Amino acid sequence: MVRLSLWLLDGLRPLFRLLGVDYGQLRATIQVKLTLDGRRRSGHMQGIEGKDRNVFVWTLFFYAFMGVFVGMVGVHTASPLVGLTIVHAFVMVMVGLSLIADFSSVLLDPTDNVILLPRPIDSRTLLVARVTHVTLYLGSLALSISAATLIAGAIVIGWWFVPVFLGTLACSVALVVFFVHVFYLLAMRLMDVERFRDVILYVQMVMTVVVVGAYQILPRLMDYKQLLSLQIDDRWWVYICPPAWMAAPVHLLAGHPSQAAVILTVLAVAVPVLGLTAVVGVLAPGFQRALAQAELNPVQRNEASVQPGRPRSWGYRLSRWVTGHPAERAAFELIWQIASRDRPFKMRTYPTVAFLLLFGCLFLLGDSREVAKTLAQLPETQKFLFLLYFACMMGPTAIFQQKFTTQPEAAWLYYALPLEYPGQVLLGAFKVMAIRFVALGFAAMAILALVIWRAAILGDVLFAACATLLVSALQAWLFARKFPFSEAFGMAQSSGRLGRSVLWMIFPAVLAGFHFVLRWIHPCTVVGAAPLVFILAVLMLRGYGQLTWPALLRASR
Amino acid sequence: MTDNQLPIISLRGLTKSFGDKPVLRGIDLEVQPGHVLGYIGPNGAGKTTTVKILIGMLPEFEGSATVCGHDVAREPLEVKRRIGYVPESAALYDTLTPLEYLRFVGQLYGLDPQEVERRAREMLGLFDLTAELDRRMSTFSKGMRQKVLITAGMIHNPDVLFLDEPLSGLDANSVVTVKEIIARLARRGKTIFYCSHVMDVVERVCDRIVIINNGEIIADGSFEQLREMNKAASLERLFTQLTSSGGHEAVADRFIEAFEVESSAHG
Repeated sequence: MVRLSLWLLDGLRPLFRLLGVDYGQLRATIQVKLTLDGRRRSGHMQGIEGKDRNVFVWTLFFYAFMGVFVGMVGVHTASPLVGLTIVHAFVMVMVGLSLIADFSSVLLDPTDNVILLPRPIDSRTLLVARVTHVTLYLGSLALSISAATLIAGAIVIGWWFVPVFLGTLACSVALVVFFVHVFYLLAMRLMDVERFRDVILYVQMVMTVVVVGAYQILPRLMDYKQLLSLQIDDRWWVYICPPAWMAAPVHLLAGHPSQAAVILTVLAVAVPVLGLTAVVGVLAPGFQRALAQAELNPVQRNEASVQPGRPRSWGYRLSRWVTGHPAERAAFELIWQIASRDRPFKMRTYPTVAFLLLFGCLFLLGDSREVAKTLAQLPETQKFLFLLYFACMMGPTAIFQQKFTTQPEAAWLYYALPLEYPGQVLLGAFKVMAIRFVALGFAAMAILALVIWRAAILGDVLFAACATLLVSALQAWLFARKFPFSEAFGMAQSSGRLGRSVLWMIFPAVLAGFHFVLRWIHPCTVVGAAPLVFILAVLMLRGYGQLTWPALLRASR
Repeated sequence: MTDNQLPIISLRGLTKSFGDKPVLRGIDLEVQPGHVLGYIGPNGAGKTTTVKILIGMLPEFEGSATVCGHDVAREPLEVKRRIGYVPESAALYDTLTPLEYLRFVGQLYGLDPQEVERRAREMLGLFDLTAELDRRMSTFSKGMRQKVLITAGMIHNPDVLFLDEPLSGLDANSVVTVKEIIARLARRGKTIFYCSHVMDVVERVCDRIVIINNGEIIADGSFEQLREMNKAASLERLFTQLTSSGGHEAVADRFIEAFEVESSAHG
């Protein structure tokens, strides 16, 4: 990847010379940037463990795979306008999200300035290097997403499709770069760097969900007969829908000359050109200035401080209610605060909740085409059991996340403290995870279930809640025997993984079966059985809290 | 080392503020080639800001600053070519290996990659990093990173070297080595601008000491001269005399009281 790009650059060497750029410096900078990209984890893949070599190449393959589905939709529609609008929309969304999610860490990296600014590299070379880097990155993304469309289009529509489509692809990317720059500048103007990073985190989460969701939803889209025969060139909104602009040139050349197609084609070329001019002339320098200002001005960075007079947070208030032992309470408050501030941690945990909801909905609908009818029939089924126990299976995995952090070295603290029962710290951490993540995920599913099945299943929700607590407790007791935030992300944990995943599957399934049997005897028995399960969970947690040093040290070996 | 040469660093009326908070309030300073200047001051006194202006990282300031005869604001590239900088924060591209990183830095100075590699191997080898040359720096300790940073600051043989806490994290042997390197560079006519909080190192390494406080120079001279003027036995004493209102004993007493005496309110 790096070599290929550098080879390309070497070919363009005279052009760079013409731009007044120091080619040696440019090449060195881009080489380093591409190497860093290859070793960095992409936003939505931060959760994936394993070898981090060639992550970027792997991402490209993944996108190319998704591109197959998009491409199939793209060439299957009656009019190229509709199909290509979908393709371009997908390219724009993916490129835009990656630009924000993955590239913001590059753009907002203060290391960059500390390393590059003291070196004798002029601002023109630096700017060209940045632009080239972004172009290479986005270009390869866009190409891999649309590779399938390109091939299919060449076959179905004709060879001329290739250059025209590539041209519109370039316009799409240029437009996205323009939009993202506007987004960045607005964001930087409206909020400080710290808040901005939070916003980017949310974008990363959305991207994670979109990438996985697209997987599920796109194949379903292909069957919509309606979509295939849809005509949109007479709708007013195509003029404000950029992907439709980009689809217009092919539509026009494929023998659909219409006034709308001509106007859209003009927009497709004119807006990106104007946008890029604005980026180079106004937005990029403004952005660099805003960034430099934010960075060099640590004095005004008051966002990271907590006002002393502020009323105590939820974590403090809750800790009084749910914790007993002082060590447990201290751990609860600490973990609560870190869980609400540590971005990599949030990145790993919150999308799980979104996935739960997403998969829950997809599961309920099945692969049915008639959504309304399926929904109407649902209350007569017992599918809510699957919904609730799906949460029971997925939710508790959050418990296992408590030990991961980007700063594992800070965990020396626990070992230096005179803790009689280190289990209390684990228990405090467990309660935070149970409240913030497991309960959240379960609540999402439970609300979904209650909306559909109404109050009739309140007892079932209660029982399932207790069961989820029990599963969480069991998981903590068996596997979460490391101090919270004491291990680096991505530390491969091969031992016991199989056992763990089998247990995740079997235990909730057994509970669901039990639940089903109880319901079969009489729907009210579940309400009676719930306290028993609850007591079992509490007992297990008590044991968890009384874990001793030897038990913990055995686990960390 | 004659003092009647042209100054290699010259600051006149250097003023800089962030927002409405002044950081530097008129710094006048001239440094002759071959000197090791110790630039010290309490936290937030403006040391790092001065250095960032001198190396061309902060182009907006008032007053004039020249390094190696070039105006920092107008010819930053000329300045940057002839200086080396070892930053205080251990900013490195973590996922690169030291060799990759140094090759990159060398290329930015327009050096031949093979020559850079030869120098890098040699210099890092002398710092006992031979075995780590091809390991990613994300696993490095603070001291190991510092060695890479020091090497990166010197690999292009600069005339002026700006060091911001260069010894932090280094083990005792490396500290001695770096101090020797600094002394030898000065003997060869290189100029070293040394920022630090470690008073006894500054006392021994630097032949001239400048103390700043609240963005102003409050003392300037060799250690002997400063000691004569202020009747202080060590640089540490001198420093606290000049930069704080005193009362360290009282502060220490109250610090201990804070945890020894049980407050009745908390019972």
